Amino acid sequence: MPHRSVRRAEKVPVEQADTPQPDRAPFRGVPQSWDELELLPIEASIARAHRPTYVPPRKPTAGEQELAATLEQLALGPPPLGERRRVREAAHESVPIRAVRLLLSGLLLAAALVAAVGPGGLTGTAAPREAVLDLAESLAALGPDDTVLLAFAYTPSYSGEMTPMADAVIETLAQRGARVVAVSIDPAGVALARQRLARAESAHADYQYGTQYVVAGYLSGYRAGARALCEGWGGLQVDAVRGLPWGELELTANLTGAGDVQRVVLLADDGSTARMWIEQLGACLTAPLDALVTGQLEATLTPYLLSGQLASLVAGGVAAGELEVALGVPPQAARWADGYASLLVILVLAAVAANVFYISVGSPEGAE
Amino acid sequence: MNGMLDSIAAGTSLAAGGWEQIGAWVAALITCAVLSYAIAPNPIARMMQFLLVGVAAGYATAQAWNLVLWPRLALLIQDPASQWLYGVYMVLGLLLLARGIKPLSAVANVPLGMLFGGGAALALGGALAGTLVPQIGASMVSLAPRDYGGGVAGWAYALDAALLLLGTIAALVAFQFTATGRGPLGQAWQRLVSGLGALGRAVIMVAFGVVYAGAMVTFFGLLASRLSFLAGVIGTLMAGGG
Repeated sequence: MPHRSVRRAEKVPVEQADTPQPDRAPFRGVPQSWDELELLPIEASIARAHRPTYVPPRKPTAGEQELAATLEQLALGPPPLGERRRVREAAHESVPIRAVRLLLSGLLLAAALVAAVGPGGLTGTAAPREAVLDLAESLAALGPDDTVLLAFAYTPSYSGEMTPMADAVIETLAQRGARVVAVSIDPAGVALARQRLARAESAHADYQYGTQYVVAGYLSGYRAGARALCEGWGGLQVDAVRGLPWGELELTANLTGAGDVQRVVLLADDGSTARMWIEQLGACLTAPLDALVTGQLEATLTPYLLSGQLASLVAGGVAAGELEVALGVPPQAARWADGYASLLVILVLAAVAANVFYISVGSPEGAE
Repeated sequence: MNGMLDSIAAGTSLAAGGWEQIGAWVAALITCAVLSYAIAPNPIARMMQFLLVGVAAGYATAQAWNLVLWPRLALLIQDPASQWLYGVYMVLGLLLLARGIKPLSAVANVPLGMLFGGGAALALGGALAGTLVPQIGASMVSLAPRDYGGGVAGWAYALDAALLLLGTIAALVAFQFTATGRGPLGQAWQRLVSGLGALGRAVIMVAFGVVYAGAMVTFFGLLASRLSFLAGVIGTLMAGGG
């Protein structure tokens, strides 16, 4: 059934809608304007007689065709070992822009090389910030009677940034004789925990598996796995190294659950995973929760530090070096201070150059 | 791998033995292969990506069997009368496999429903109790300098709290999209919302900038660590210790 206003609109000659017409008998009583018809203004253009305009289909650009080909390949084709060569349009990237891109890449690589093989003149010069000092003080206060729950929630992809922090904390705990129970919700985290704790064992003769530290293993079920730590040891049945039942290990035999630990240290490389640990564990554990995360998570997790849900937050990068300085452990990340300083210089120069270019030439669109 | 496990079982360090050296060499070669992608996409780099995915999947399966499935299965076999609950878990797990058999696929809805229901409940409860409520509570701060001890420091803290409050409100207002208000009051409200929204977008942009800078530092650190690792391996080779 057509709409009432549409039926009324059909009776009205279109020409009368725009210009007032003299009063003629055949049209007497018929509304003379669109306002009387109570129609929206847009309906005038719809109701007006017109020929449909043929709009020829737009020819897809080369970029759109490439995207379509990529989508087709992803959807239908088997993954090839050799990637198809992408043909770049020279017009999209002029020679100077390519040169600048190459120069920036080269400078960044040089800065990374300075960090990796440089003289290390700035090693240990970074003054630890307040959050780092807080964590160092907290760890220094732990003793042989204290147990720390270490949650390995990072993947090997980020071990370059996370391992120095993990080593610094584990080294400090081993020096203090504090006991460690390591858990992970990621299978790779179990391997990382074994690797880092075995390193501490090799450095400290009296730091033994089963008495001083235990790799408790893999908590399956992501959120459910972490939440299960609120009740005893959750779903953990055997340790991840010897496969012994939980009660047969000296360290864990006297612990009724994760609620018995004095501190929880979270090592995470992913924002949602870190939030998940804070949300699930923070609600039930009374022990302070420290987060050691990658630099990219600092902004994400700072609100949790300010709200008091985190006792301390150390976010990789420069802070990892500061942590090593504050804890007095052998430097790993602190040796990269030269590289970070070089990166800072490059970024400042790039920012200045980009702004000078923008002010003198205008926006890239304007330049083209 | 067995040598590594044996050394752990014997109470010795993982670092002992030549396994670590072999591992370091393999890691160095794989690192070079992956970094070669920066020069040009090539089949070796792609193969290393497949290797990573395959090894990760295989390791995860082994861990799931060794640490999750087998211990529970052993308990069930040893004492079925008291550990029967694990039998229920196993059956639910097996029902998931029915998803691949068309006539029985509906059966898999039972464990899937439990998985999604439990996951959603935990996620929602966690987000409410662990993020929403504490963060709202943390944003309710006093703006009175005397609450921070007075003096210059008190004023500084109060200003900090005011900026926090203003930034939070502005960022929330940035996501409000309403029609133009009618009347002088509506238009004034519209101008206020528009101004606050602009400020909120600026706050969000600053936050994105901080996140981007953090990501850059992270990836720079990862590159530096890989180059440092390669330099170490090459140094060992040059010293004749490889």
